[in-house]
Amino acid sequence: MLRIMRSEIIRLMRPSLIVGGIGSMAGASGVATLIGFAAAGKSGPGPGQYIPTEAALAAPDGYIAGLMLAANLIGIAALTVWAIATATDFSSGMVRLLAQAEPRRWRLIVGKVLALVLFTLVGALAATLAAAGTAAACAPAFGISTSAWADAVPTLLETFRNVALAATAWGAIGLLIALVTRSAGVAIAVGIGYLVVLENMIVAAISEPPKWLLGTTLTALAAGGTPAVPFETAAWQGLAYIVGCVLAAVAVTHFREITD
Amino acid sequence: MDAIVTERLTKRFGDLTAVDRLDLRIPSGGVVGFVGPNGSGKSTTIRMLLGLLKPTAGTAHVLGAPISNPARYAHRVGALIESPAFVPGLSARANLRSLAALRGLPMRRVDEVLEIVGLSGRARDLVRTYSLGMKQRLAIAAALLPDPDLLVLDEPTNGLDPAGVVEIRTLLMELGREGRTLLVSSHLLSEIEAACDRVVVIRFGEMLYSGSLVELKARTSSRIALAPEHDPDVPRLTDLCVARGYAVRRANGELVVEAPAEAAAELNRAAAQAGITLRKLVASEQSLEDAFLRMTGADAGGDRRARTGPGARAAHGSRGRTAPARKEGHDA
Repeated sequence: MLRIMRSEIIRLMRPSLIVGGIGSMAGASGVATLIGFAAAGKSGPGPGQYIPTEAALAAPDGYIAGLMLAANLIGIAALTVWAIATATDFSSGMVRLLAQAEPRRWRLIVGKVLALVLFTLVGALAATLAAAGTAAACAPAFGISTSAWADAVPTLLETFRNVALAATAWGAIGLLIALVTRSAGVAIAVGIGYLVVLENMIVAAISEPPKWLLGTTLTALAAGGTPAVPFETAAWQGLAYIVGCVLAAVAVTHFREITD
Repeated sequence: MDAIVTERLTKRFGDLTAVDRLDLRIPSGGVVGFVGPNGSGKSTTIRMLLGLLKPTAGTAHVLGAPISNPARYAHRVGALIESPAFVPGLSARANLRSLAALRGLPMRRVDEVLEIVGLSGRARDLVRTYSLGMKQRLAIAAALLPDPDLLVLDEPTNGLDPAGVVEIRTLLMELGREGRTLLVSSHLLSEIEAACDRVVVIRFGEMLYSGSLVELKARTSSRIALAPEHDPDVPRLTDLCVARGYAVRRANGELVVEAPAEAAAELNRAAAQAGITLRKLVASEQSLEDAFLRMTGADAGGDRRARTGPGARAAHGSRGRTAPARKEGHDA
């Protein structure tokens, strides 16, 4: 399995994916942090988003508030990377060589998932560091006290874990859709369209929407839990989505005839 | 041991029969040409042999192992399937390193195969900057990575200019001398015949010929075109040829006689003795490519087969069975 994972990592190490994936995760996190500091206390909650108060930014977890603000953007970046990495195998014809060299196709999928999880963890780490670095630079400029931040390492790790887990779930969805449609573009459009638009419409249309809905779960997961969905519930649901997507991808790959 | 054996191997996609009860036996060692018009079922056959497609019916073995379990022979087989397949945003070396890692091969093997195909100097360049010929050579390098006993190259000369075809052909000849088995598919026999020891010809998923190129060449026929000065003499001239055991057909107002070139003098003499003056007497040797085209039909197989349904299939099958050269020289 390690050789398959290593093979996948070599293919992930192309500049477009590193800049577009890890770079966009870190960039989104840095920009969200900057906006959070610039707009702190100046506006109320918006639709599907919130701006932290100055007191929240001065709290022990204030320096990673931008990471939580950017959680959905990081998830979208992860979905995009996973979808591109999967669809490129089909569009380039690489899948023929891969499946010929390793006929046990479930191993190809599991190896790919492990490599992409590693990639996502690096991206989430870069995003965490970008949030913390941007916050440290912004705090003096915007008059935010940083005295409480020194005690925030456990919170930093928790937030990193939550964002990484949510991004992995986003990515697994991207992988499955790209595998079924063999198109990164379709996977990104369908994934983001559902999570950002369709599910919000469903939630708005139903008086008591289910708490297991994908977007609800991922938002709760990234935020470390919400009033509607506690973190433990969100974590289990998120893991279920990841495992479900991987199992479905294995099944699709096993039964599909490779005509690409 | 045979490198490849298929028994009534069949693949259908809905109503379309891509490969129809194909029986093949390809012995180990040497270069075997796998030829047929576009859409004749070559790539489908190769994909089944490599475990990418599941056969609808029939069985096959590759290097002694059944194709239902390709993991048993995948490490001994290298393949170029249809067109070069690489990540364009990675260098040639990185692409090969990825494949070498997948197969658990040492990274020094990457440099070895790049050297074999003459791409060492461009190994660090992105694949997107490569010409088609270079991509083909890189694809052959990828196929060579596992140092395979069986090398399957599907249309390795596709899209290449004449110089590129010669380049690939020379490489195939070199690889063929190393003792491994090469199965090289092409829709043009002329592009690979110089590199091949044997040839398998298929059309509409059915085998038309399997045997040595020498034997195929020996069976290529010659023709003599005859035309009498006066058209009313055509029936008598026809009878005269048939009486000597030659097949005759009319084409464009003249007679085409299936006969060796040496028979031209005999026919000329016989015509003169019968009081027929000839205005045309031309002997022509049929080339190997002519024989191939005659065997497979001049029309594109893909277009014809795309319209094939279950009922129409039988019609094509019978058409194939009545083709003059069908299974001519079959020694598989």
